[in-house]
Amino acid sequence: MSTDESGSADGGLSLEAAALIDDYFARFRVEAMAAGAQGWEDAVVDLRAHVRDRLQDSAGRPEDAVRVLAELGTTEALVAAYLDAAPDDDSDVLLPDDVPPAGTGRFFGAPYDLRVAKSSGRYASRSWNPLDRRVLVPKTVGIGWTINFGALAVRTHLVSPDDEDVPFGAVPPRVLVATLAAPFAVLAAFVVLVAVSWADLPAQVPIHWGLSGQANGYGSRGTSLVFLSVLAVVPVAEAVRVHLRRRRPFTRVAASALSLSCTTLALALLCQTLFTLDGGTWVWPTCVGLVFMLALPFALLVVVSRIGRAAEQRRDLLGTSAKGSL
Amino acid sequence: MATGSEAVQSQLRKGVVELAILALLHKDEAYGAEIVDHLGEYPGLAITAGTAYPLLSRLKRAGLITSVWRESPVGPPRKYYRLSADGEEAFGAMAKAWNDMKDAMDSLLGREATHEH
Repeated sequence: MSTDESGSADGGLSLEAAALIDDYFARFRVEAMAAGAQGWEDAVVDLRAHVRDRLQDSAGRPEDAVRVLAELGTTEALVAAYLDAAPDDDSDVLLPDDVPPAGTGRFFGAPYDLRVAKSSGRYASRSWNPLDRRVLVPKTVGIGWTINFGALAVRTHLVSPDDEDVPFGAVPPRVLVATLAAPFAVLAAFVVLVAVSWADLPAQVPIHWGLSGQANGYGSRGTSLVFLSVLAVVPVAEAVRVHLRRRRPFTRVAASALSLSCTTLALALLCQTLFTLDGGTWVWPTCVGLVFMLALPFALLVVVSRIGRAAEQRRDLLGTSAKGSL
Repeated sequence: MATGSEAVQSQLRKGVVELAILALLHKDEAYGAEIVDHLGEYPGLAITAGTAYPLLSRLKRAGLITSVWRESPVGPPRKYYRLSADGEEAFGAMAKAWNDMKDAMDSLLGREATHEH
């Protein structure tokens, strides 16, 4: 036995080899802690056992320790293996995303999402996603579900899932801007109706109705006007902002559709108010309004999607630009 | 961990179907419904349109396939998919990895999986 080996602390290892191993795991420990790796404490025990095992048959010289440690790889690589792999953007199809992002979860079974930042983009991807078969998808902000008009369009055979490479991606810019015409048209109708009728209304107007159609709540004319105007104008203003900021085509069309929905509801409630004051005893203006509130955005999205498909077909079939697309 | 045989199958299939689609497109370009029909001929690989289109979209985003509209002899134009140069390369590498894995799995499963029959 050489002096090196007689001094070994660990089953035939030279002191120098043992020091190399200790140094390796000390660096691993520091790097793992700094990187916030998971489960590495147990791993150190296992890895040390592995190294001891591999060195059993060797002479226990420093070169042997270097060779066995090289098998484990650099400490950086080892730490990376114990890091929670950051979810890869493409993992959505191959892996179920069962770890919800912060701010999301379920409340009495209903999904919720409290992430407000960039919600317009998420609204867009959920309200028109022909690739997703689900008609009801978790809401963008708040509790509950939202309608995936894309799935509805696929199920009614109005579009097919791969009609467009990127939803609304090939839609000409002037058509994107033109989608704002829809909410503006409804808003114009709202303004005209307010202008011709509001001055003649009594100070108290109905603001709440029972299922039978009888008004069961009254409020001041001014408050009602402010409420309806906010409902009609704010979403349209937000849509204009989204368009001015040159957001993705997807987001812009969805913003137009969402504001169309809100403005239609405001118009319906205004009609209901006038109808009740005129002696009407049913809630059909509201019912019709609710139908249009969904049907109009649906029609808008389908039409724009068709325009996008037509633009892709023109590109490919008439060869107005490079063949194929990436 | 999924232990039901159906869950195990779907886990296994998810990765393989992607390779299967690349293999189909390696032979010839195809449109969406055609891909679903071709895979449907193999019970182990049958997928619904609801699975196929998201996969195609993912492969396209990854740059492995491209799409182009073509006139159809019957009915409206169809969107055809084919492998890109990157896709051909990825397909070659994946096919090789699959063959290596298949040989390894055959030899591992060989004794146990077959002697039940």
